[in-house]
Amino acid sequence: MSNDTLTHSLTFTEAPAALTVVVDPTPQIARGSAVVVERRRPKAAGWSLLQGLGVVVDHWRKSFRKLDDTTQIAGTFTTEYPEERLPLPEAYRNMPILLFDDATGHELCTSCFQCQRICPPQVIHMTQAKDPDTGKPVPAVSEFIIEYDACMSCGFCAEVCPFDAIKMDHNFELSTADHSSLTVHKTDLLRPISYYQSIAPTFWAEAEASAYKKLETNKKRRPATIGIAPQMLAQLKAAHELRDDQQEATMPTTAVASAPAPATSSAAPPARSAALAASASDLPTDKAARLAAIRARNEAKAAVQAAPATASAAPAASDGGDLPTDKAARLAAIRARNEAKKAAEQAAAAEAAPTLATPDMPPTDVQPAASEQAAPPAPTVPDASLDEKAARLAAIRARNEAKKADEQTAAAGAAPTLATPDVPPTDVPPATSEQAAPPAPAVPDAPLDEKAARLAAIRARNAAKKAAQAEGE
Amino acid sequence: MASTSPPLPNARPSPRDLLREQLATVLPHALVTLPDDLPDLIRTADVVVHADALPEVVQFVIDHLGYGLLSDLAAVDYVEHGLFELVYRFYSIGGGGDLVIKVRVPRDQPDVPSLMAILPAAMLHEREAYDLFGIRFIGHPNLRRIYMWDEFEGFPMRKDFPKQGDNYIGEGA
Ligand code: SF4
Ligand code: SF4
Repeated sequence: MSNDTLTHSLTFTEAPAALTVVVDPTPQIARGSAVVVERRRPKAAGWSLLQGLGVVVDHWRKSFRKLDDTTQIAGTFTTEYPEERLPLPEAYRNMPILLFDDATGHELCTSCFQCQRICPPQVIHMTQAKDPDTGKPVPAVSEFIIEYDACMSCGFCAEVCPFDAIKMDHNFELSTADHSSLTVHKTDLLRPISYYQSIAPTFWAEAEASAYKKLETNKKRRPATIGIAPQMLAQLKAAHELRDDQQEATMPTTAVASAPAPATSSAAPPARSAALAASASDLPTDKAARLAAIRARNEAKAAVQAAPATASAAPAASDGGDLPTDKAARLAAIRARNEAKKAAEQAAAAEAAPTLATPDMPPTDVQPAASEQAAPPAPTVPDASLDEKAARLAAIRARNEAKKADEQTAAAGAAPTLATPDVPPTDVPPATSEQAAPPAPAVPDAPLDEKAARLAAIRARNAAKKAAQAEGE
Repeated sequence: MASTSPPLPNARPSPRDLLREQLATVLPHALVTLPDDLPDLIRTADVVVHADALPEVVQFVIDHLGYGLLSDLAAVDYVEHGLFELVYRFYSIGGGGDLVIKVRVPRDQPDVPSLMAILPAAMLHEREAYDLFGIRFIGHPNLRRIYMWDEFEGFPMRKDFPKQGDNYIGEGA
């Protein structure tokens, strides 16, 4: 190969074709034979030096030539990776990743084991999540491991996944000196849907509708925070605390039930709250339940104030049985249930006006007061935090009751998907948002703009439809 | 990038054309002439050589064209056409574009001579192609599975590899 090819990365069109290959007319090709490459260069001393200078002169001379367009340049062109990258085809696949919903943080994976079964080198391992109370399996994974070092990038896992939860990533920069880091755990596998959408828009567009539909179904069977991407939990918590605080501050004690709360918060990102509102819409009697919950909560609060606490252990997440306010809460719950039943009957004719600014069960009260005010685990004095805790528990209970009541009216008979209480965190900042501080609007749900209003309307319509169906059965 | 811009006038011949030209004079028996009426899917502009002649061709490419780096060996399963295609991709230390040599073998008898004696770099590539596609590289000193465990049955990247996962009916589907 001539030396020209080595040195002229740019060869102008006038220049002679640079690649000159000497072909022996009768080559003797034998394996492993010594190869002599003919360089065709004089063996005079200092020749290489002159040759190098020649290159400089050559380029200098060519630099005066005016080019009309880039097609007059020939030569080797490079892309300045990593600053500059060529686009990868959508179908490019490297290693699998798991997806979670941007809005709610829910993972799409339901632990159905399809991918684990099909994976040819058997590098997928997972543990199904269990409901801590009942011990029953929940459609979510508690741990998910892929051994990237042995994954053969076949993409079968993504192909078989019925929930579009596992997808093939485009990131190929995985080299590392730490072998063990190639055993990747769930937290590091999870990516927001928006990420996958950005690398494979048409693929996701195809999968989107069914993926979300299945996710909605599965979310209902996930108690508390199970199935929520761990990296989203902190943000969720912060958002809920913020919202709760603001609600405490803004909510009047009595007249809540009737009026749609005004949009007291102003600059809240409307798109976000719209998304949140939409994500909460899976409750058929959403509105009724929420109203009931508020009522129950107020009831409970009053009860706590009336009866001083007789101090018991810190309540477990879903078991408020030994709370001092238990009785009050239960009463409130019954009341709420009745309310809900009534509301469910009326829901068929639900008007489009959204009443969204009602409280929602926050996942934060699993570990309450982590940051609020350092509440002692076993309070003996009914201080503010206990009060609030009780109120929240009452609210949960009321809501569950309301839901149950609704299900009964639906007569859906043993639909197991609904048997567990649903506690969807409806108030989630986006996965991509940088920090949790600003996202939660004070009253996040009030339709701040047209889009939110439209979403709310859709939501109301869905609720009405569901209620109508329920009554039809 | 080059593929999107219009062809260059006076640009030097592509490595592919060069190879085809020279093979035609030096190793004419190695070149496969593809029929014109091939289905679109398996039509190719690259140089296709006979499996038996592959070592000769590769030796020629190394010795006389300076393409001494085997960068990649890809296998393609054209299940409907009963073909396996092996795509050998070479680079030259001297620069320039890559050089592709293709070999096609029938699916029911996927035997290809190994390049191990000429290019030790083919070692892992050939094991991978064997493991995933079941291509038999004649003369490979250590043709064992590389991803799968030794007892694994079948070749998972073949298009007709059974997807043994159960047919799961998702709820709400
Ligand atoms: S891409 Fe293939 S090898 Fe990798 S985890 Fe998925 S199924 Fe397993
Ligand atoms: S990633 Fe998909 S196939 Fe695998 S367990 Fe989760 S839902 Fe099932």
